[in-house]
Amino acid sequence: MIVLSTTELEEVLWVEKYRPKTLTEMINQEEVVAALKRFVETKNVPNMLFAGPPGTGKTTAALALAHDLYGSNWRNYVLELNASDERGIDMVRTKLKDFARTRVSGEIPYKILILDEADSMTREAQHALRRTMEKYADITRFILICNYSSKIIEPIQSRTAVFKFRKLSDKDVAERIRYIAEKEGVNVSEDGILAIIEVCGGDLRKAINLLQSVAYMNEKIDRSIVYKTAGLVYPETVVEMIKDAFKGDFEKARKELIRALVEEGVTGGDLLQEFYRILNSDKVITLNLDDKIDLLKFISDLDFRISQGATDYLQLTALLAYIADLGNKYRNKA
Amino acid sequence: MSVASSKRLPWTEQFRPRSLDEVILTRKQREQILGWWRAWIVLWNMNKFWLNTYFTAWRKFIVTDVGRYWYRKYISKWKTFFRSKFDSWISIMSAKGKENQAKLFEPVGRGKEISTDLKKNAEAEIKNKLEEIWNKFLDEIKEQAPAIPPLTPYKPLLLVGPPGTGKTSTAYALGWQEGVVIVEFNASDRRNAAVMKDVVNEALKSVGFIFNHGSKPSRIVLLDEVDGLSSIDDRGGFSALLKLIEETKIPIILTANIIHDRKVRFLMRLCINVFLDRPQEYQAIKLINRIIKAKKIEMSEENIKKLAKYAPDFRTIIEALEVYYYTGVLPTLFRDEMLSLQDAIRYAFSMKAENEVSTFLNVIRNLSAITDMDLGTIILWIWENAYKFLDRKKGLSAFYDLLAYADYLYKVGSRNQLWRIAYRDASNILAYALTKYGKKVNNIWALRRIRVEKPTIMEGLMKLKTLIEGEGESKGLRPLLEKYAKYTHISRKDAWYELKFLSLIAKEKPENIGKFFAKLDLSKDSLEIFCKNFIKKDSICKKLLKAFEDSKGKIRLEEHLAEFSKRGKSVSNREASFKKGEQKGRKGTLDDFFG
Repeated sequence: MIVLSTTELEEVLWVEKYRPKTLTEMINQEEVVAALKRFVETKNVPNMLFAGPPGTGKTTAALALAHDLYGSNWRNYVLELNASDERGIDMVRTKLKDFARTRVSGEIPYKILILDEADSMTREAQHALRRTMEKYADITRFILICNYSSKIIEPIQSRTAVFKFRKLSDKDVAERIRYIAEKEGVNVSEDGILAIIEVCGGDLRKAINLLQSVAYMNEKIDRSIVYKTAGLVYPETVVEMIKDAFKGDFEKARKELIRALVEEGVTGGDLLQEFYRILNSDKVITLNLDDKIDLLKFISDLDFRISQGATDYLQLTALLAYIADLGNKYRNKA
Repeated sequence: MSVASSKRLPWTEQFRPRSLDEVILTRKQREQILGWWRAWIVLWNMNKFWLNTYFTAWRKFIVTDVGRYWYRKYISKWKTFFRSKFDSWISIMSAKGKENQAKLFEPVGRGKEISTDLKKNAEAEIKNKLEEIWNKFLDEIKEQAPAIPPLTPYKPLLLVGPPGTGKTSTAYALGWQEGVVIVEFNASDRRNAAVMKDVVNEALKSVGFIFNHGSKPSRIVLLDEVDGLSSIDDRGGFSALLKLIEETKIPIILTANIIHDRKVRFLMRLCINVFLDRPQEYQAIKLINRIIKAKKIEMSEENIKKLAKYAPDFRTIIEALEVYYYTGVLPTLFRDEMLSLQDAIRYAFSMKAENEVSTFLNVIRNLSAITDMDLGTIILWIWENAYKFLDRKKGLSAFYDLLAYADYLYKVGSRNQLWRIAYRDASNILAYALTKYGKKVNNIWALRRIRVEKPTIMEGLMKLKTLIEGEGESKGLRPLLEKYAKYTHISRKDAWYELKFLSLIAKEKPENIGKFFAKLDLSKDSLEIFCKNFIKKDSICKKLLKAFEDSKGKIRLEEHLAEFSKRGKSVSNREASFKKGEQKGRKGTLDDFFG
């Protein structure tokens, strides 16, 4: 087991060190936090569904809620399961059910089960979950966390209070980064903070991790240094691939794809999502409307095929070839 | 050869060709080989003339100061000059060279072919030519010399082709036919620098010149399987070979299997290259019929066709027939699975017409039957190599989309046991895609030069899986990922992505990360895997591991203390119960106290 309580070792990861421990410490998602605080006051927590992009504080909110509700002993009342744990239908029917139906003694009669990344559970598992949620509602409360609430089946959505976590504003991220930098004694310029935000978008987790790696490697942090480090921590593999393929260097892009899969260990599905995001945002290449519609349609086709069990790298190669041909077409036009 | 001895020999020896006519070659290949041999005969005669006329004068000149100066300044220039002039005069690579050969050698038959015997007046012509070249050279450099320096050798002959297609046999056949001794060095000999020096000496032996007054070279050096020159065991062998080519006075024949080998690629620029392909069907039938006739074998037409179609090379045909002669059964013919697959891929991309699609389907069927290769693997091979074979003008996306679609049909079909979709539909789409978008070539050799590579992605992914999941005793990175994910409340997948970030911090602050991993209560095993694969620098890894061990000790101590204090508590509990027991009138014992 993890020996957290007995050791007084200094916290190494800033993400953990500065993770808000209580709801009051949370700097954003005001509406959600206000509602959660009400729950704590009344000591009545419904089944909930937290939905929102990564790094917006969903897990933190769930843990902070537990902390506020149960006090320092909160770990005894909370079971956290995430996608790394086996969560097939069997698991829902056995381990999860067993946990759900054990009673706890104390001021608050129920315990909390946090299901992180619930959208990666299979539909069957979700269906198996729904009876459990109802049946043991008096002694167990569920908090389901996901990126897309649409991936959670309707019956579960109707049994939960859905809270949408919105993307963090640049101001919020900047404020937090500045706070951490000050606490850690890191010399970071405004320029550098802006750069961090540009790289990480609204993902605070990513932003803090990036800040930590930059801070360890450099005395003074400015724009160019942030970008240099970001390339190491979050390599823009997909952007490079799109650029190469569009330029006409299809083979280089294909080799890069193989490298990303084999060396970086990125899954094909994740890569395709990234492709979709970047191509949709016109960040790297700009297409006219007709081409864009065709491209997005093609990507969704590939997505479907992968979901049905087709080989991911073969499908992604088809996408690269598609982009290569588009590049050719645009070059000829120009 | 007597009948008794021929019976004991394996058939491959019995049917070794005794002349070039018996080797199954195309007309072009035959002409190339003979043309090369004739060029050497011409050079041989030039050399002989040079030895008789200029050698002594040159020896005297070279020891004088003027001579030494001349040598240093002009010898390499002379060598290139001579080579280029000789090439343009006699080379088989040019039409003019062929014409000139016809002028020098006796005609055979109806005058269309020429033999390797020099005409009577040829020697005089050769002498004139040498002096003409020499005078042109002097004109060019405008510096006189009293004698012609030594001549540059002609190119070696390089025979390239898959095993068993008659490379060595061709060399020996030429030797037999021309009455020349073949001095063979092959892969079974060590061929390091020292051994090659012996070859060089053999090749440079002037004995052949001075005492051989015939009009042909007396021996040929055969260096078999040059692509087998090992860079470790045959150290220096290759550069010695290059030196040999530069200086030899007798002809050299080199053979090689793999056209893509770097050394072979290099040699191809220095040699006359003859490509011996896998036998065409008609060539195979020619050989089969010859052997059947000689051995009086009865064989059905169908079997002959089958053998001719699937046998990868001549040697296999002979061996198969020998087996058939003694047992009545034809053996399996695909000797080398990889090679057949590579050729099947090339073949697949060279299909020209729709009616060849069915042939391709047959190829796939045969491959899967014989080599246990499923359609998925064949798709993978095509995916790995397609870009080299595609006609770029038609665009890439259409082909790759069809390939991806074939893969989808195959995967989904076989998962749902819809075999018609998995095999018939997928392979049909694949075959038509290949036919439509492949390069159109007339000569299979144009494709042979394209290297068909083995797809490595599966191995890469397996390696990655071993890294994460571990193998045998080792549990891989899995425990690390699990604990890290749990600790930071993220999924294991995200934890994997964050390892890069961790390694970056570790490079700056190994102590911190070491402590952190100790806190996660990791085993040393997964930490070492992390170090090996993500940090790589030994000094940092050492620091990290040291911090890990130290903190681990500290944590154990703290755990121990915690345990101790808990125990202390329980001791006081027991004390209480001890007292309680006393109160209840039951006498407490020391055993009660210590539990």
